[in-house]
Amino acid sequence: MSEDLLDTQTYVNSISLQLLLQELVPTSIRVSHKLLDSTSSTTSPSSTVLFTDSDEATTIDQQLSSIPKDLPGTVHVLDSSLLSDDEVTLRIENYGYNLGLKLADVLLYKTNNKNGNINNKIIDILDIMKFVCRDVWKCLYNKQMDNLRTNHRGTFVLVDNSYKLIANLNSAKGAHDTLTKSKTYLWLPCGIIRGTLMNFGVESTVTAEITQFPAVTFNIHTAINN
Amino acid sequence: MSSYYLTIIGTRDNPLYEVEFSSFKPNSSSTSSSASASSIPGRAQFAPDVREILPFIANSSLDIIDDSQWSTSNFNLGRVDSFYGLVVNAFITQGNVKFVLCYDNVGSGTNSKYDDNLIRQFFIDVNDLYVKCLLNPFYRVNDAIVSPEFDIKVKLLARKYF
Amino acid sequence: MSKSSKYNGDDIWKNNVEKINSELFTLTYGSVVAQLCRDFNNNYHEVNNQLDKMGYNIGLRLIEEFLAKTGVRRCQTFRETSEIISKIGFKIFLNIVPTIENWSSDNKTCSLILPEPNPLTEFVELPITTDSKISKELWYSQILCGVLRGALQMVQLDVDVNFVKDVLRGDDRTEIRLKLNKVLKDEIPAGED
Repeated sequence: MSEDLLDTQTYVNSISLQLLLQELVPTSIRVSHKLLDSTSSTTSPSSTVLFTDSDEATTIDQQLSSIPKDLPGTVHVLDSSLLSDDEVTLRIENYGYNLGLKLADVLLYKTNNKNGNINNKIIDILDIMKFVCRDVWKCLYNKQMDNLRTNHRGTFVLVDNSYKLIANLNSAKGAHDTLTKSKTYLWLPCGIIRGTLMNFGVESTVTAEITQFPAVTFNIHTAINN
Repeated sequence: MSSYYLTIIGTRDNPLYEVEFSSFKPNSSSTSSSASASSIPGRAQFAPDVREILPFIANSSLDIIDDSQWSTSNFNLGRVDSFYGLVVNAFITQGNVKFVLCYDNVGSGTNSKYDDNLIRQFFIDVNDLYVKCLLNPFYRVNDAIVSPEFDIKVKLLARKYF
Repeated sequence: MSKSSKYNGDDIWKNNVEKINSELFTLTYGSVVAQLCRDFNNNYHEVNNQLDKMGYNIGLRLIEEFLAKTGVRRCQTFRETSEIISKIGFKIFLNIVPTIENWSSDNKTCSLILPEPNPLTEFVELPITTDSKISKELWYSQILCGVLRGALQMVQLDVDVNFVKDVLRGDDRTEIRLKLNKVLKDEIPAGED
């Protein structure tokens, strides 16, 4: 083709992506707050003021949401009671899912192009899992999963010994609080994995647990007997 | 001159896009001047009754294509079916979206190998366009593809290959 | 600019930056914008504001990384600042170098023109709607304004940052307007002077 934008690989700083991914949790909480505030007050006459009709520039002393003390550069937004509410976790999971849903097509297109080889559609479930562990993790976090296990009856366990997005979290309120807040961040990679598998035509449920901070174990259940 | 019908079918067997065209290359076995004058280059010339059933022909080949989803590691499935003189070629993306091309076999009976190869190249380039389409955040998997740019580029590819 | 030339964005980008495929970034940012549009039921002002807040918070943290990687010191003029933003800031984070033009006579207002394609908007097409509301109201890359405003705040610069044009909306180019309001002199952090 005359214009082949996908063939010329362009790059950005991986920190740009990490910073963006890290903001997804606070943003999801703020969005959920805003939407719940607006529905809870639809009966009141002032409901119309909740959604703005103008653009505002964020400033350093501006309250970012109705969550107490949610100012720029602070982490008070994570103290919201919605932190582990479905409203928030489903939203985060959905960001990941929508991303994962497109990842396989795009990444495989690129690797195929690079190798000049277009004859290797991935169809084996174990190869699909390896794709998640290697290619997906590599491009998102610049590392691979550290371990992949299966019971050969459709259940897979993926282990990342130091999951990048939580490794730097450290709550001033102590280790227990760090763990609680980290759990919410894990819905993003769960969604990414579920979306990627769906892209391959595999339905799954994905959950994550922090085994020994910041090591994370992803449990994947599929209906495929491998 | 062969006529072609391309359809893209989503993972839930839902149609995402369709287009008809004919080969742009003039036929070597020169057709009568009156017939070629009435034909616009690129316009498909399926008989009306065939034209009506094209989506059904494409759909009827889906079972064969779906079977290969888990059995072959080829993206290009080649010739998968034929139906009353129409040939069906197919391609399946990594995300299990299918490209199906139905065409009549006029004047190309001897060159099927050559045709299959052209079609394979055509599919690969359409896949290119499809991946670019996926990169648009406002496009969701299994949405109908309505981008005018996509449509134009597919037609340009059709002209390039057929 | 003799002052800014002692820092080399290309060198830092080449030798001192961990890189990822830009499509990943495009996809991730895009899925955020698209979902915000759905969440707020196409109230694009809300979407712009949420992106701005995200960006602002990112900017507050990004500046630390920026200073650590580049060793850039306090700029003498806003012209110098804008050069640093474009040739070093944009270069090392997004691998693009916007051009700076349209200076006001008092040297406090200028425009950043983003190159096309750029890693935020590549492959993006706004959905075609009958009311074209989205192409009048959504600033797809608004996060950049938040990032710049937040990062500059941390180096004591109070700057207005906003989009005035966007190719996605059908404009001839993508243009961010910067306006220096004041230099905050009171709280100079340690090691900065």
